[in-house]
Amino acid sequence: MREYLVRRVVISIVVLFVVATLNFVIFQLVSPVKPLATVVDPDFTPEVRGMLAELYGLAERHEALLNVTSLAEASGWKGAGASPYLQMEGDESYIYSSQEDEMVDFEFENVTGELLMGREVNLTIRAYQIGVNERIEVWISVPGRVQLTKVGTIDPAQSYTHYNINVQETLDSLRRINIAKFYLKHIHISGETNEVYVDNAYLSFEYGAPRPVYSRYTAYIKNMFTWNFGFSFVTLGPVIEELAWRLPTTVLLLGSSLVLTVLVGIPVGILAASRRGTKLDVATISAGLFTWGVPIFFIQLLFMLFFCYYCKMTFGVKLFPERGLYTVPPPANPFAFMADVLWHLALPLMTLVVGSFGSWALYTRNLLLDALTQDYVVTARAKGLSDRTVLYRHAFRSTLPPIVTMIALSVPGIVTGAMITEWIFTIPGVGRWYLNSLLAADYPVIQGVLFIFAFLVIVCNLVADLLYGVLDPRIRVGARR
Amino acid sequence: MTWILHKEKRIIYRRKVGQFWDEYKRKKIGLIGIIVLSVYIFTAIFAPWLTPYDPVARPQVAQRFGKPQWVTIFPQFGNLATTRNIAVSWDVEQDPSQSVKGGWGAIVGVEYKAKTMETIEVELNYTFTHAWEIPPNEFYIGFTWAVTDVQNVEYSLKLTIYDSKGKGYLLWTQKNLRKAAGAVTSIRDADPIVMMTLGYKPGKDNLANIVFAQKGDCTIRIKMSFKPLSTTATANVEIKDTSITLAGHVHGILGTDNIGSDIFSQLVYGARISLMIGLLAGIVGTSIGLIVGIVAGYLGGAVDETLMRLVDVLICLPLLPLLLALVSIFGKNIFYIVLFIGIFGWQGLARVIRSQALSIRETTFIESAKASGASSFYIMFKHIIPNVLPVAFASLVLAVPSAILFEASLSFLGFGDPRVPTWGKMLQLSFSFEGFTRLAWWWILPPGFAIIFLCLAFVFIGHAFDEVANPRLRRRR
Repeated sequence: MREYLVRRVVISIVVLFVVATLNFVIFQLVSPVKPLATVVDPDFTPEVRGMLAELYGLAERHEALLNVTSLAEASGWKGAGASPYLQMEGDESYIYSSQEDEMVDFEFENVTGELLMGREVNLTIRAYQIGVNERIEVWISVPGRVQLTKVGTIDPAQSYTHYNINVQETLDSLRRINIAKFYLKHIHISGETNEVYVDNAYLSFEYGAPRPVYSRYTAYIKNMFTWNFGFSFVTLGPVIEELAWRLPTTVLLLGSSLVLTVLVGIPVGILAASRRGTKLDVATISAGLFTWGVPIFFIQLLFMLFFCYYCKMTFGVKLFPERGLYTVPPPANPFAFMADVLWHLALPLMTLVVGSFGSWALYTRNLLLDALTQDYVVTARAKGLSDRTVLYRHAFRSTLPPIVTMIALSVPGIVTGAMITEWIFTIPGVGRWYLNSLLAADYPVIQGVLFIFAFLVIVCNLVADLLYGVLDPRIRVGARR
Repeated sequence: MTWILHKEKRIIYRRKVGQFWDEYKRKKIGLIGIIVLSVYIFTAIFAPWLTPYDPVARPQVAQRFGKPQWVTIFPQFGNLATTRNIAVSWDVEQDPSQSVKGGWGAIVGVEYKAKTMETIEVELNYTFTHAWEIPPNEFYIGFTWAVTDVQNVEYSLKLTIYDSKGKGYLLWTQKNLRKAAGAVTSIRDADPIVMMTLGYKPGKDNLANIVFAQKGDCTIRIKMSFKPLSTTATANVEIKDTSITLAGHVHGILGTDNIGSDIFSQLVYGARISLMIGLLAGIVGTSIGLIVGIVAGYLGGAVDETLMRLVDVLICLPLLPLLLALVSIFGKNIFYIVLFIGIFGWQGLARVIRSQALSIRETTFIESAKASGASSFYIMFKHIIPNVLPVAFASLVLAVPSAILFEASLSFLGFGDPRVPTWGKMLQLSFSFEGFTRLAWWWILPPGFAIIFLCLAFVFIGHAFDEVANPRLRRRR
């Protein structure tokens, strides 16, 4: 038994691991929309963005001081005409241009990190000017923008002095572009003398470079398994906290619908089995078949149409509310509040039960009929026990293990069903939150909720498997292998 | 595939199928399923001929939320009218000054040539009888106008509609033009600019109700005025294709939706899409399940272990949330949806097929096939597949409705392909666009029941098939 337990737990963890990996592949590798691309809200402070980026392993914060040395290492000249070049001499670099009025591009390719917008970017260029009409312009290009953005001009009058250009404002106007590849595109040199010295052209900015996949992956897995799902893009609250206050609603809906369905379905199944061939039996079979073909959401829509809208318009009576979990404002009295919640939950619960009790009834009926043909039931009958005793003490008891298993296994389906239910009846639970997050491309929430759902399913499967072994003495789970 | 053509084999298969059909015929439920399904298939095949209107473009054919036409047999709806399209044939009132030559009828050409410097007015009139008991809630006027050969003239065009009491409502004006102009113009009564210029509140007043409040003769008039700037002034006005549409209160078999388009067309096309989705997704899923199950069951060992753990993982995935996420990431494309439903819907079948393959593997005929040197591939595809085919087929029949329901759920939640008219999308539209608050049952019920009947047909067929093919179930009943 213990061996089996360990085995099952290990498999479950592996499955969870695979789910997390799948999540990672879907959302981080395949996803054509980079998660951070959704961070367009200008109200976000740079700190929040940086936090989000770091949290999702998309970026790392860097302070890159692009001093002359790194400039020289990183830059590649892409000038027109006879090659101007960048020459290193100690702290100074020289740009020689052999042509007049030439546009010289140089890209700092190695530092084209993904810049988190809204961060302060300081670009400092100190230029020595030799010529008279020398002008140095610094441009920044942002992908997705056709035009270059002019950052500043180094004025001839300011020659021989260092000139600081604060790029902050320029970038602010580009803030709506989320991730900018940032590089010095042009240094425009014009003038008679084609010699410009650029000294200490350095770029100091914080940027997030895309981390290598393996490092992101390990961080991601670690985050998932430590329940660290990060922050919602929309509300900026931690996903786990947001989940925590929404979960009770969903659990209430799920739990009560499951309990009610089972409480309705199993007795109906028992009745049908004990009165085999009667109209009730046929009705049970049909109800079971109908659950396969009738979408629960349509039943809900029908009930809603009739009980909420039709009754209100035709009779002027609002039998059930069509939306929400409680009236706004909620009643102060706790009992009144509970009654109010019940009134709001009545219709969703009713529809969930109507839509799914049939399969339970049919399942129970079939199991019972199977059990009723077993030898021990014949023995019990032969002993002269009453039909009732035979049915409940002998036959029904033997059907309990598969039913319990089924209950555990049905949880994922109910989670799914509850999602649509919450959507239709505007119940502020996890499912509705998930759908809204999908519409808002709130990736942290989507990943977190998916992981939680998978976790739930895995735990339920595990519990079902183990319960089966505990409940049914005929099955010795430990001896299987 | 030569074995299919082999004569003896063919006879055997035919006999097997014949036997199966003989037994199947006795299942009433299965026959009902087949009949219903054939109706759907017929609808799906002949959808283009059955749909009077384009279900994707959804052109307006009657008023918004128009009831089905057959409700008029009930006395309380007896006065509701269908859409009336009036083709206007103009009657030209000529100015006595003879500077205008005109024609009458559906196409009106007015030639203006100035003789004096007076401003000349030309009126085109058309009178029609409005005999509806209940005024229409919407009307629209469409016409094509073109003014050419404009020289030294300032002209204006005005369109006015006069109700039965003779009160005029100016709907459209083109003032003081000096150049050639023209357009295909459509005037709607709900146009807020029209409403405001007439002094009504858009969204509150209903112009159609006001104009056609009383029965009687209504007149539509286009008034042209030409103000010559010199004596050589000329202009050529052509007005054609004029029509007034009084949007019907009722329309067609299933009424209209929130933009006044035909619901029946959408419903018929939905059958096509749903069947296609169900069958394709079912086939994709069943094929994967079949192959994985057979390979895992027959080969066993590490392959089996790997594949079954994969199945474990897939079973643990919360399907609908995952599908929603995938669709929202990869794009709302019908083929993605089909593919995803198929790819994530084979776990159960794979387990069943595997267990079957495990038992078939131990049979003597497999052993003899092995002994005669058959390869694993050959055994799997020639000996095992025919034996598990009934199970796979039953699973396919049951996979179809679940795929249809899945797609309907996706569409209902707003994650369906926007270019495809599906039943789920119809439900979504009715849910989001006042279908419920206006009690538009003719919009809500048909798609839902279409889904239910189609799915039930498949479930019935699957159930009957299972009863015939699976002896264990037969014992139970």
